[in-house]
Amino acid sequence: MKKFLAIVLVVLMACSFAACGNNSDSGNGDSAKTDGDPIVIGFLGWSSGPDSLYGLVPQYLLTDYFKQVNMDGGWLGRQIDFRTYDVSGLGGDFSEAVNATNKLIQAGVDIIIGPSNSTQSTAVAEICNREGILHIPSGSSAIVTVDENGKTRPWTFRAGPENSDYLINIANYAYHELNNPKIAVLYETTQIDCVNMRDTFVNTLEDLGGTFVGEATYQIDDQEFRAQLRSLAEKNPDYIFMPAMGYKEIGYVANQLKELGYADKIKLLTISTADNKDLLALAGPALEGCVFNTTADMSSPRFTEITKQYYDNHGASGMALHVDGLVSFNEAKLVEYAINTAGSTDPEAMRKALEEAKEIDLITCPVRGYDEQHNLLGFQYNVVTVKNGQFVSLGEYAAPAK
Amino acid sequence: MDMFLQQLVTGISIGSVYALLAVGYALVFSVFNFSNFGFGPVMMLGTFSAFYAIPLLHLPLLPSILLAMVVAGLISFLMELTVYRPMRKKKTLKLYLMIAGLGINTFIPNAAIQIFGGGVHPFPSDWARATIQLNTIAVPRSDILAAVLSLVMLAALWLFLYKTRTGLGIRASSLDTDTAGLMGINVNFVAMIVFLLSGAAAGLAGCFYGMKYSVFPNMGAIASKGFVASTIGGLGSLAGAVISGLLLGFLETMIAAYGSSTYRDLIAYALLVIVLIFMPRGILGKGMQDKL
Repeated sequence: MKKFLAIVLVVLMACSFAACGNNSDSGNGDSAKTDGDPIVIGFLGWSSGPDSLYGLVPQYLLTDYFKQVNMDGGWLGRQIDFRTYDVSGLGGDFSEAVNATNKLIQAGVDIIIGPSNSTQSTAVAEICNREGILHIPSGSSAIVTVDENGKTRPWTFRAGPENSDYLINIANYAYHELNNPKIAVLYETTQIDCVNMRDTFVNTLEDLGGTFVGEATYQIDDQEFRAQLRSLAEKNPDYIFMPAMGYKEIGYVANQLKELGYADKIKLLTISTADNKDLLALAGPALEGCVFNTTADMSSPRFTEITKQYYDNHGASGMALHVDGLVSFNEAKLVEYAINTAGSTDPEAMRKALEEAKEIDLITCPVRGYDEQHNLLGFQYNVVTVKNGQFVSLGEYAAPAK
Repeated sequence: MDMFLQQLVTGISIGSVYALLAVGYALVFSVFNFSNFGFGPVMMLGTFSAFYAIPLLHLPLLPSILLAMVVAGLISFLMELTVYRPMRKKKTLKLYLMIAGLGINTFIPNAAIQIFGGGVHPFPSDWARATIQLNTIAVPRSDILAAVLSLVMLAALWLFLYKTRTGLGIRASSLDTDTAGLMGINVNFVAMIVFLLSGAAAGLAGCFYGMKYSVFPNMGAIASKGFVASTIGGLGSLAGAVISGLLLGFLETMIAAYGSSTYRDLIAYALLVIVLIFMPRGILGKGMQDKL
């Protein structure tokens, strides 16, 4: 009897957890779809583990958005069936992303959006391009939209800047606007994105004739950086550049630089990962003078309404609205553009709509469509510094043309 | 030399966190011969109690650390009461107890993300964040506090185990739980004390970790380092746990400072394998009769 009760309890628990999520595989195969069927959009994000804020914040934004779209009558008169899948975090491998993608395809998904990093996005892109499913990841490295033979993946379109764009931009900013300071690099070696970002930054800096004085490494989810910081400080850098994928590492480094007494002479230089108000809470005073580039000026009126809605609906979640979340939100705008321009959810028509797009108003900024490698054109970069414990925009910056 | 001393301070500081965690693992293993892999969430929940108590109840730092120890101890005991004890009563293989612990280790942090959010927060103590400058060596106050309180906790633990009747009961149980039960020792009471103590160690370690780094639902992942230290020290040996915890912290720091962090875990875990090959019972683990 006890065994039976235990089994019943486990089944009930599993069912209740499934009901809590909205991943029910009730969709039919694509071939069985009719014009009245909902449009199935699958989101692959990190909603568990130490990087869950990078999946949960976009998930909240997207869920609210599609709910509103459905309340307004949907697209093409069809409701949106938005399904979210957790694909672990930065430390996870790509198997969960692959499983989720296959599951979505079996359920008749129309478009898959996410995930954020290259390892998982590339695995998802492989499947989507084999199956002819439109795939819109948020950013990451070139390998997501271009395969190993240098051929553009026809079904994958980026929703954020390609990583190397960020790095070229910030390297140029450092060289031209910060007067060629001495720069050391502290980067993570566990992920290909971080290694690629380090390479692009250092190569760009050296091509410009910049002063690269040394580097140190760390591993994913590290918290202790004092050993590396002390070593780097011996090389007297003005800035330590960190192409970090998570904001907490930036916060730890800032705090530990301050603890070691270096914060006044060594500043941090980083990328949009720092564009998160939770970082100010974690390391505010220690970040003074930190400089980073980002794809959005979150203080601009463009984001007032989104920010208000987010905090009204999800302020209790304890997670600040961050720019990476807004870049993921771009994915919804691209889906909307593709479906409404194509006038259907025919995969080829949607693909063509994106490929031929000339102007799309995304969440973060307006863009001028895609280049041949499915990278968005016209992304603007805003440079931000930390002053008196607050983010202060230093204005837009575009790297000089070569 | 300055750089070496600075790294030494860093190594001792992180090592003291590992040592406390290793002691928590060692306590449970010494009596029940299994490792409580649900230890990380205990540490995390204890730390969150202090994290919320400081601003909401306006508790000063030391009482809030005490609260974290009490909460973590109670959660640890609750874990024993609701998960491990029923399994022990059914004479479940130790392996399944550890698997249950692994389940807890996944379930609770993910539940915590839903409750507390996935954000990373600073421990709300400005005092702990300040640094004392000793010539060219910077020592955070939280590190000094960690060293002092860890020593106090370990000394109190030693006195409790070796100078009290309950401690004697725990040591008797560590030799053979079943025989101790037949000799009139209340094994469930011993279990309660052991889980309360190991939880308190986790709560203390969690507060230091929070002060040094941050508070977030997955912070308990660091407990795996405590397990490694406990294994290297000799599972069940408190002295071994302390020594190997400090050693692990020191080695990790020195490798990252003078080599590369890329090789840090490689060397630390290779050391684990080597120790186990040549000293299968760990550095201070001798025979079952020498536990604790």
